[in-house]
Parts: sequence; structure tokens; C-alpha cells
Amino acid sequence: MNIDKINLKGLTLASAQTYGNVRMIPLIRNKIRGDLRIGLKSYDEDYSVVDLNDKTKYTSYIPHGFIVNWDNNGSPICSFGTELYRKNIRKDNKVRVKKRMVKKIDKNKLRLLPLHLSMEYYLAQHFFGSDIIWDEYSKDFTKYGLGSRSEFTYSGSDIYGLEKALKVFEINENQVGVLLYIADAFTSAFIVSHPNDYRKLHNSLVEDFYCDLIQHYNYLYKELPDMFPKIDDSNINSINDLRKALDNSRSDLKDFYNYTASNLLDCYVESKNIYKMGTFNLYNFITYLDEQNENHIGECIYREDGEIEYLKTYRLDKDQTNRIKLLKTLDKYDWNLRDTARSMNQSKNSLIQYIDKLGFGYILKPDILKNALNSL
Amino acid sequence: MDKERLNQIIKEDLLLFINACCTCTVQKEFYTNRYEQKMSLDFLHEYMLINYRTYYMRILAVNINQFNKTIIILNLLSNGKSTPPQLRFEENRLITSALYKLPANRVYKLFQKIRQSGINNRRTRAIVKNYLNNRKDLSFDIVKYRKKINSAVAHNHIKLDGEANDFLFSGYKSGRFKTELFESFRQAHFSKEAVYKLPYTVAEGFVKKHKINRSIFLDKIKSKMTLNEKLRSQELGNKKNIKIKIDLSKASLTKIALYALSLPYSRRKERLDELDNALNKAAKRIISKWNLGLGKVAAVLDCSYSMSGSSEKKRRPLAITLAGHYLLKNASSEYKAFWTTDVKKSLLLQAKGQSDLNTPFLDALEWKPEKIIILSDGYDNSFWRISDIIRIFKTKIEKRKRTGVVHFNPVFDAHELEPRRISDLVPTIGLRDSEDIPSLLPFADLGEYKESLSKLENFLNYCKERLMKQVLI
Repeated sequence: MNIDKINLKGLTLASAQTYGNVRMIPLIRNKIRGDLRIGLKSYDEDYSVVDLNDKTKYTSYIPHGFIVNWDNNGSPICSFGTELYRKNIRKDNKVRVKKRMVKKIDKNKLRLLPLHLSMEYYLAQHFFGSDIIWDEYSKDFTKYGLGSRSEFTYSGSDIYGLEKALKVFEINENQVGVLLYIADAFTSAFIVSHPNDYRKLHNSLVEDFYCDLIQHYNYLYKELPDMFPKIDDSNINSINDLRKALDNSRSDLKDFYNYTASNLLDCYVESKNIYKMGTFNLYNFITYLDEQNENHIGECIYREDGEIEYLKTYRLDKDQTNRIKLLKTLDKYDWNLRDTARSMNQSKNSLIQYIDKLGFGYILKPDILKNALNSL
Repeated sequence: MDKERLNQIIKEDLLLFINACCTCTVQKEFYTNRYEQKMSLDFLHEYMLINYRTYYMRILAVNINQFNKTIIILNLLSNGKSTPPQLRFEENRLITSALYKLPANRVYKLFQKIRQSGINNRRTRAIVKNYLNNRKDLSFDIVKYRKKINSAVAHNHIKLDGEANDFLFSGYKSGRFKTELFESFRQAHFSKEAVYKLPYTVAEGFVKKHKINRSIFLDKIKSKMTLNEKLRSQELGNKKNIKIKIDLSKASLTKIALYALSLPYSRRKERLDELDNALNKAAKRIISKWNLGLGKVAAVLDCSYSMSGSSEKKRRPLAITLAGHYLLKNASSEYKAFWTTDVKKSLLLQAKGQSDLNTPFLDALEWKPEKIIILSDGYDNSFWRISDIIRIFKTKIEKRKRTGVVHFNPVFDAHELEPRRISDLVPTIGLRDSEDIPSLLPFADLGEYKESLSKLENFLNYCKERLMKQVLI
């Protein structure tokens, strides 16, 4: 069973906290069960290579992995790093080679590489190209698919002010997650299952990666306006009235917060169940792609009753959205260029130009590409 | 500009500066770092020194923190030329009196700074010499602050009585001394036993030289410790199983609160009654000196994560809040505390959670107190701005003005050059030690817009006279 919408069932929004141009909205869990815990395992290599199942390799700087423990009977357990375990001594390597993005390392224990899991899902979309060998495509593409795909992102430590904002952020009681906005652009959502795990993982947000657009916004807007509601005080005559007005505006503001993240929370998503662990399911997802709006990729764990236990998202920038959208459209029309062009209201040549602009020129035969580029 | 507006600006400048001087110690804070703090404070001092010289020196008499007093004295001494002739006498008296009220370590550090900044004039030399000659136990100071007094004496060409100069400049190599403490210091270089006749900090320096076991050292030296040193070494003593006896309630209120909060949760729980008693006693001691006469008081107390301070000021804002809680509890006829998080026992307090001032403030209003005192760092991230609530309460709900609201802020905000405000309708007062609450309460009234500059001037004059009368030299 796949999910079609990301919801925040079981969570409540608290008031936003702002520092510099970073705004964060805390998410508070109503009921803590403690049967799914997430711990952090740091890696200090320069870069890591992940060996995927299908003979492909994923290479990136990976600062840490998450270790997920769960209990099938729903009884509370402790998270990785707090239990007694033997320290394994390893040589000081510059490169780490890992097997798979998600790996079962013990009974009821799973290692996953946060966000890289989603990125890999994103990069692998329509990786093997077309089943039909159309004339226009290059030999390599028909034989091997897209070959080597890569995307550039910025590390959180490049986003000026994020580290300080995370440091001075006041974590609420029972807080398990946060909606992160940089320069008031919705950047990322991060949710875990247990408040203690959140406390531990809060600062790991600075080690995550963020898209080019966010980095731009971060340069452009250094200060944010306050996000306090305007109060209509005409009918307030007693402290009780004041309290009522406060409660009303509290719920209004929560709706507003929800609205600001609506491109993640209200959108339909395309998801894939990648792991089942007892009553929990791990999914990858991409929001329904819309060039006019923000688009996100991410990974999440849902409990069987629909409560969200883990969520981490990455916002795609415009080019990244366009690339994935193009691949999807091509796939929809069986990689037939003419049909695809028609569906996009373009000529075939301008579609080829568009393909080249997005960095996929190499999938076409050089002469066809050259002709198309010269024809315009 | 008309005169009234001008006076208003002067008054605002003065209050801003006094507020900054009450809080800032150029230490790292939760939101701002050392450099930001230093830049802001240096600017304020320079601005005051150039524009309001007369007020600047009189502020020495106000209950600002010791750190800022030393900066004012240093600035005044380095700028003697610009003192108007008719005020020279007053300025000198103020500096001398302020020096006597400061603890010795601050003064000697100031003397060292005088040398480092190359200030050398007749007045400075006289003031330093006068201070040294009037110390009750100079030989003790000389042993304890050797380096600093050395630089003061050398820089100002002072000839001290007795063997002091020999001791300062030739040290233990110049042979036997008649002064007992000097002789002990000399002997301590050769004998283990003589070490224990020295002040704690000096003796500490010999521990490594003689390879003395730390536990034995601590046990033998504990009688030589000052009150604050004893308080600081309590946990060290516990680790080594050595009981360092101390009458907690004799220490200052904020220091006890700091000590209490430094204890781990379980230890605090064990010693709940003892700490509670000590805090109450210390609070009562302060109140007995002041005629506060507070009626029904509600305290809105912030214990959010930002009150945990910084690596340099660990839990200080929180300790000030806790101490303030005890002070107000003992000073008012009816009292209730409203914390930002759910605090059952105030001593088991922890700085965590979001700064939500809305809820406790509304709860406090409902209780209908005569006075509301808010202790917070001024960073509010609740749903509503606290200033909006205060505005609505003052303008719409409470038509006839009754409830007084005062905000005490233990944190200096370097960006705004003053402790962060929570509302324009409420005076914000900077606070370094909770003991200053009684003396700073009058400022709350002075901060109001309608109050005139002359009232503040009167207050400054009163402080000045009081200081000069207290210390007669």
C-alpha cells in the first residue's frame, strides 16, 4: 500500500521561532509511544560510495546515517547510541563503501542514509530510459539508460545563519519535528518519532543539503518580518475576552502555518514503499510536480494506523523540477519525441533544445541534436 | 529643538546607558557573542564620556555593575583634561569613593589596565597611591595580587611602607622578611607546611611545585578560603569526600541561586530544604535593608531555553530569575509566581522550552495583582506579541490605571544597545544581580515618559551624596 498525501496526523503545531532569516515551526506529538527510535551514526569520510542493488553506485558526501530501531509489540525501546554495544574499530579510510541505502543491520534495526535515500530515488527515476529503440536516441542511451546522473546541492553549513538559528532554537517539550523556512520559503520538514531523538538530531539539520534556490534566498533576504497576528481589540473588554481572542487567533495561525507548507502537506505525492518493518512502512515520495509551485522529495515512515513517525524532505529547485518533469513526460509517451512535443505544445526541435538545456543532450544522437539546435 | 524634547532625549540616553551598565559585562550571551557585546558597550561609554561628562561620572554612584564602574573610572582617568575645573573635586571624590566600594580584585585589575593603556598623570598616581596606602591589610593584598600591584607600583613610582617594595620587586630571593605573610610566601617555596598559611589562590600555585596530593591540599587549605571560594569548591570537595563547611545563607542571593542550579537534579532534590532555607534567609537579609512595602505581587518568570545563558555565563539569567523569585516572595505581602513552563518546585527548575510569555502573563492578570514583575530576556516567541497583550490590557481592559508592570531583564542585547524591551508601555530594567532589584525599582518610575529629566537628575544627585557620605577619606 502506498501513500498519496503527506499528513501530520498526531502532531500539533506550536508558535514559530525566528532568528535572522530562518523561521522554524515546532511540531509537537500528542502521544509518545516510544516503540520506534532513531539514532545517529556519524561518518567522517571525505565521501561515500553506496553500492545499490542494481549494479549502480551512488557517490556523495554523507555526514551521517540514521539507525532506526523498532519494536513489533509496541513496547518502548531505547535509541541507537544509548544502548551498550561494542565499539567497532575501523581503519581511518578516506572513502566509505556502503551496501544499499537502507540496510537491515540487526533484528529490528535498520540503517538508512537520510535524504540521500530520497535523492537516490529522485536520480534513479526513469533511469533505464525507453523500451522502444527510437531513432533519435544515442546508442549509449538505448543500451545503458541515463548513465551517470548528478545534482548539485548546498550543505546546511553553507547557509549563513542556519547553524546559529538551530543553536538558539528553543526545543519544546514533546517536540518531535520542525518545519524549516529560510527567507520565508518553505525549505524542509523534519519529523522523528520520539522527542528525545529529536533533541539529539535537531542540529543534524545543518548537515543536510539544500537546493540552490534556498541558498539564493538566504543571500537576498537577511531579516524577516514578524509573523504575529493583527488583533482586533474592539470587542475586548475583559481578561476573558482577551483569552478567547488569543485562543481564536492561535487556531487561525495554525491554519496559516499549515497553509505555508501546503505544497508539501496538501499535495498528492507519488510514493514507493521501500521497506516494511513490523507495523511501520518506509516510503520514498515525490510531490506531484508543478513548475509554478514548490516541489519536494523525501522519505517517511508511517505507522499502520496512519500516524507519521519519520519525515525528511528536500525542496527541489526549478531546474531539478523541470528535469524530473521532462523525464516523466517522456516516459509517459514512451520516449517518443514527437508525441511528447505535441503534449507540451512545442515543436520537436524546441523539445530537443529543451532537453539539451536541462543537461540531457547526451541521450540524443549528436547529429540530431546539432540539426535541432541549428534549426532554431 | 525645543527644550522639553531635548531633555527627553537626554533622559532616554541616560536611562539607556544605566540600563546597559546594569547588565553588560562583555561576556558571551545566548544570542550575541563577546565581540558584539564589547563593540556595543565601548560605543556607549565613549558616547557618554564625550556628550554627558557630568552625568557620566555621577553614574558611578548608581548601583551599576562593578565591571562598568571600572570602565567608567578608567575612561575618566584617561580623559582628565576635559573635566570642567569646577567639577574636578567632585569627580576625584567620586572615583576615590567608588574604588573603595569595589572589591580588591577589580581595583587591582583596573590598576593593571591603567598601566596597559599608558595612563600616567598626577591625578592617577595620587589616586592609586592613596588607595594602596589606605588598604587595611595591604600585605595580604600584595601576596594575593602580586603581579597586579607590582605593575601599579612600578607604573606610578610608589614607595610603599616597610618591606613591600622589596617583596614586590625582589620576591622570595631577597632573604628573610619580618612581615609574617611575606615570610610565609618565601618559605612556601621550600616547605610544604608554609603553603597552608597563604591565601587559597596563592597556595594553589604551589601544589604542583611540591607535588601535594589534591585531597590533602583541599582539606588543609579550606580554612583559608573566602566565602565565594568555599561556595565554588563545594562540588570539588564532594568529589574528594571532603566537607568544606559553609553557611550558605551568608553568601549573596544570586550566588546561592547559581550554586543551587549548578547542582545536578538529584542532588538538588536531596538538599531541597537546605537550599530553600538559605535562599529565603539571604532574601530576607536584603529586604531588611530596604523599605519595599510591596503588596500583592505577581511574578511572570521566564525559564525558557534562552535563559540558560552561555558557556561564559552558565545559567546566570536563570539564576537571577530564581533569586528574584525568592526576593519578591519574601518582600511582598501576597505573592504568586507564573513560570513559562510547568514548574512544580522552583528549585528544581531547568531552562527549557519555548519563551511563551502570553500564557503566564494572562494567568497573572487574572489573579488581579497590584504589581506584575516580569523577569525575562525579552525574546518572546509565543503566538501573540506580549506588547500587544500589555497594550490591550492597559488601554482597553484597565481604564483606571492601577496595575504596575515592570520588566527586569538579565541579558544585554548588543544589537539594541540595551536589555531587550517587551513593550513600550512597560519600563525595562537591566539586572546583573537580583540583589539590585530593590535599588533599581525606582528606575521603573523614572522610565515613564511623563517623568522629567530633573527627577532623574535628583536621583543621580541623591546617589552621589550618599556615596560620598558613606565613604569618608
